[in-house]
Amino acid sequence: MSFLTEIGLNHFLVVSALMFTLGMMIVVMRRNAVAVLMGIELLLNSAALNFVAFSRYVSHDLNGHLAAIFIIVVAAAEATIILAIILNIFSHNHSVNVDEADLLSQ
Amino acid sequence: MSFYEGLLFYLLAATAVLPGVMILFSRDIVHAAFWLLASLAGVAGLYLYLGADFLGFTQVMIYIGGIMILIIFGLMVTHKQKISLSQLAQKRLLVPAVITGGIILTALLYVINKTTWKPTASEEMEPTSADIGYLLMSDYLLPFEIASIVLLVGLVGGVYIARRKEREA
Amino acid sequence: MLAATKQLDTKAFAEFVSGVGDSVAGFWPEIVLGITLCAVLLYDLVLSRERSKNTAYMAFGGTLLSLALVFMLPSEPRSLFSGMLALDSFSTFFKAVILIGTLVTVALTQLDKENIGARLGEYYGILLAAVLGMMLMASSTNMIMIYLAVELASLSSYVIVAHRRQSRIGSEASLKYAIYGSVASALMLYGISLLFGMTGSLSVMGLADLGIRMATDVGFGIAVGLVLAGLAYKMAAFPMHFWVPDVYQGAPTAVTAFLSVASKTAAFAILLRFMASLDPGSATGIKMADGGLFLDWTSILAVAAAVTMTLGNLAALFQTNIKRMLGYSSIAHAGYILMGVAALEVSDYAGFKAVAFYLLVYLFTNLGAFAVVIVVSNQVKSEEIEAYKGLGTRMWLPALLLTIFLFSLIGMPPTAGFTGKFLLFRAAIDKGLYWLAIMGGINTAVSVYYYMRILKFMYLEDSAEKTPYPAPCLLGKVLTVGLALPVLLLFFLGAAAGWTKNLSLLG
Repeated sequence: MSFLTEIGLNHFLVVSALMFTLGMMIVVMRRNAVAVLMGIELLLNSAALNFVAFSRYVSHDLNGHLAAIFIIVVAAAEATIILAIILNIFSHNHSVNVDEADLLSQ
Repeated sequence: MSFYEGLLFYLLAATAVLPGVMILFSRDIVHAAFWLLASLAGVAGLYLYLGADFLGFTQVMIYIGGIMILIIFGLMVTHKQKISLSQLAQKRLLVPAVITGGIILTALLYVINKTTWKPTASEEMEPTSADIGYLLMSDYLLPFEIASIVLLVGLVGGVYIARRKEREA
Repeated sequence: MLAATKQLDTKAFAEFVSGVGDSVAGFWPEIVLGITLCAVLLYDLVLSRERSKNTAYMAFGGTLLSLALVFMLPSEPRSLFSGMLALDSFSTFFKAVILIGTLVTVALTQLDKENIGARLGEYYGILLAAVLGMMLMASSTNMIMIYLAVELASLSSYVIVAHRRQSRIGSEASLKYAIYGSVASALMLYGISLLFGMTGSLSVMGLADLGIRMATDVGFGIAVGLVLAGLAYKMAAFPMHFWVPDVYQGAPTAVTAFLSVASKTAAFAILLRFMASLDPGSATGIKMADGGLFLDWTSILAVAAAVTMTLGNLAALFQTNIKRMLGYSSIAHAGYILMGVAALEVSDYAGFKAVAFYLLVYLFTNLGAFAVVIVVSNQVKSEEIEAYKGLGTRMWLPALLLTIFLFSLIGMPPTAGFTGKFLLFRAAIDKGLYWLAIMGGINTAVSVYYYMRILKFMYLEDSAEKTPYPAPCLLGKVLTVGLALPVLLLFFLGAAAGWTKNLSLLG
């Protein structure tokens, strides 16, 4: 049972892999643009968790931490822009479903 | 490593991962937003568990305090009418989603298992803030500056897109 | 690094400051661009109400100055900002290509004013931020820097695609572009995080020995594959090409033109640098656990190239909107260029030069085609291919120039497109990728159909009206003719070939 009590690198990688998988499933399955944005946040967090875990267990420096900080910065800017675009669409057709944005596919 | 430390990890991991499932299936988008909040808090806990003190608090302040508020604001504005996800579409998409998820998870678990990561014995955990500050002003000076331009674009771009009708007239 | 930095060492600090000074000497083009973008935003905020044209002049002037500084960069290759960027002839070339594309884009925006609106302060500011991101993409050698540069370029592109807020098509295009673009860059980021775990370093150069050490490792293959998927989105290559037609149709035409050349060029610059450090010429690749299947990067890229060009060309056959058609054609061209990347040989940079040359030719050709689309739509008020009926007599100059650009897109002599395509095919054949060259040939033959269809509409079909349209404005004339000259003139080909011949990477 040492796997259960000895927490190591692989534990964090599995958590991150699960978050990444769920994020991708949300992106594929949810049609609401805000929900898809939440999926993207999960994807970014899973990558940042990877960086920090590798920093702790493999490289023993702070490069991974710096990477995670920049990811948070980018995520903030990204969320702002995507939400602004969603608000803009909402004022057009009062719905934020990705599939209903279909004027182009005709 | 004591039993309680292991238990703490599993609690934090569950807090980070399980809300993802709830977001995937929740009908109400506002509930989903609060589940995301829980997940981000779980990740912040994992950062602290890994000895990344500065990052853990940054996660709480920027992500939970900033980005989540932004998303919830976005929901409040677009929530005037109930945005029901069309039930049919969601069922139709369940199968592709499960297939995607299955493939990705298998691939990633395979990678994690087969790769030799060469983990070395971990050192004492130390406070990281001072060193992060030093790195930001030395090796990471350029990314630091570029990050400021990314934020500038986010700021100007956000206002610019969401601005109500033209001042054109 | 951890313990050593507890106290600020004054000597180390002095060394660091002089290091930054050295780095700045190789960074002036980007600095000028950054200052210009802030100046444009401030000018628009504080001063301008009516004088909106001034922001265009500012953006144009800043870009021109930046381009001049690119040509004055010191030539010996070195690393800038503690290994974040590389200053080498390779990055200089791609920066110049991107900046030339920007100059044309600023002019195209002025030309397309009717559609794009008059108040353009923020637009130009954010356009320049995108250019800054793309220039950093061309020179980054650190994976976090690559991610930041890609995101800076992407986020700015999302904003300028959404420029026409009142247009529903434009908003929807920008939503799709932003959502799927964010997913693509998140995939890339996850791949980078895995590579960081494998090497323990964020340097792209650090991948070189890893590529040899883990040549047969599936995990390594998956990590690199995720990074490539993120880049494919920016290149408009399979399997991340689906956003192209919608965004190309929905965005303002000047922005479409910008994305189709600058974004693609920057993404190919990263791809080349990345693949060069993996050295696809060696036996690097993915091997399945049982040892049965061995996929090297050359074959993977070759398959991606073949699929990309086929998908793009087949879909382009059935388009009725010219911007959409050019969108699919841009996917097809990503496929042709990938052919050169597949033929990459690190020892003598073969393939590499063909890609650089083709990107330069494609810059002029595609921007020219879009310039004509703008000139025509200013008069005809339509972007449908039907509307080009009888244009050969009603607007003879734009029709003639469009013919030249389309010939170059097909790759017919004597246009530059022929030389470019010839080099790409030869690179593939030299590498022994005969089947890929044949696929490229078949695809080129297919593409003749949809390009020629426009010529047929322009010259062989008559519209009900016969009266000629008024001649295009001076800017339109200068721009379209100016872009057609490099496509036609042979001395340009010589100069471009000489330029691309000497490209090398910081090793």
